[in-house]
Amino acid sequence: MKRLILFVSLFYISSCAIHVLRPDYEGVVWSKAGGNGSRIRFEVANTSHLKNEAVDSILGTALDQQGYASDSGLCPRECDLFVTVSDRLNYDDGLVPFSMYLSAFTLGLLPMKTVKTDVVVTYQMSDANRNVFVRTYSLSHYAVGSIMVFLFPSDENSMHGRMLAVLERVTHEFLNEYERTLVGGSLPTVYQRISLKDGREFFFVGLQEAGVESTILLNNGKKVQIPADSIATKTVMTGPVPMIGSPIW
Amino acid sequence: MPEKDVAMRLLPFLLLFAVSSCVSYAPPVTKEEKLNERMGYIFGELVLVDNSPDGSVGIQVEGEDGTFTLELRSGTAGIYAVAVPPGEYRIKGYHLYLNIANQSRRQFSPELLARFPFLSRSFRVEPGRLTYIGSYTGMRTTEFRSPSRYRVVKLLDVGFHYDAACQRLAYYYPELNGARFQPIPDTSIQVEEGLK
Repeated sequence: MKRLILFVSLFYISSCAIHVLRPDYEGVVWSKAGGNGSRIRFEVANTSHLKNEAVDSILGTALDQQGYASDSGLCPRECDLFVTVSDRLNYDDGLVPFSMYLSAFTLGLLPMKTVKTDVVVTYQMSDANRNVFVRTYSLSHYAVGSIMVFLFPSDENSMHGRMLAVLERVTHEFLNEYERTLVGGSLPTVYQRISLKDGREFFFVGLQEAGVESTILLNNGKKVQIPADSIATKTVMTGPVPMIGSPIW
Repeated sequence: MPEKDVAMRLLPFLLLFAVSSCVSYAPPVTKEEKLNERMGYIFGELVLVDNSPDGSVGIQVEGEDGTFTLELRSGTAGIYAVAVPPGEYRIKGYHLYLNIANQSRRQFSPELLARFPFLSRSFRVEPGRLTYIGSYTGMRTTEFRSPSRYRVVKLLDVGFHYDAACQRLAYYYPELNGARFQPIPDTSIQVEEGLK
């Protein structure tokens, strides 16, 4: 009996150590060229707990499937794709399913906490003219785990697998949206910022100029009609969207 | 005196204490809310970096009608805009909250005020105009130190990044895109002041 108690205590203490030492944030900024002979270059800022190789693999697969990483790709000129993947892990005290509690208890373990992960993925595609297409997607992933989640790598890999499947889906969604936005194979001219003489400021907008009338295309799909001579300055976007809490901020 | 009577006599004081220690957080405008030309707007970037579920940080702004607090929230889209009556305002300080028994209202240190004169000056909020009050980063975390673990909440960073903040506001609040902004100069500083 004493041996059993000792075994269970040691097991639990060692598991707690795994939990404590597990990093919540691991920020790495890295870049990688696309596939052989491609005209696309993508950079990934990965502050998530997903492994860089995994993010790279999923993006590479998605790009290959869409034809972006080949000479016959849709992107007519050299393109840059910036991807930001960031997340946060919460170890909240949550309800653990009874079956998991029972199995954990049978093994002499105490059930652990609920793991919740929020992932924000921002994609930005720019072409040789520095025209930019930006989209941000937010994902939430919930998983209920016992202490076993931290002990058996298969469970961890399974969580990675589910996250990556979602990431692959939004990558496809982004590439489809990008494709739909192209006009004659190119991105339409997008202005980052238009300042009017009356002090108004517009960001992330497009501009249609026709004679004395101009139309500002807002980022929520609406339009604002203004006299052409009311524009004080217009600045073309040259960098990524400044995101809060990401390495590119 | 019976213990029950003592408890009953103390109850109103305890309730009063609990209510007085609560902080009222100003509700942000929603993304779909249109710009009201009769109201003024205060906006700031408030990001709470966290790996702990407990605690919050607030920036306290004082107006002619009283003080309200902007709460630092989690997430990457930590930009926060509130509609306020036009008038004179000033940033009073910040508020750290771990739990009802462990919270603190603090004023910015003299060094910080010397570096950012804006933090000690009053500013005028004009109708239909957006006034930027800075970019603040807080942190709530759990520190594991033998023999126990400690919840920690602190103000980590203060900065003024006017151009980038305006862009982010327009990105996250499309309905406010096209407004008039109140410009301030860009500077930044690292601070680390917290509660344990």
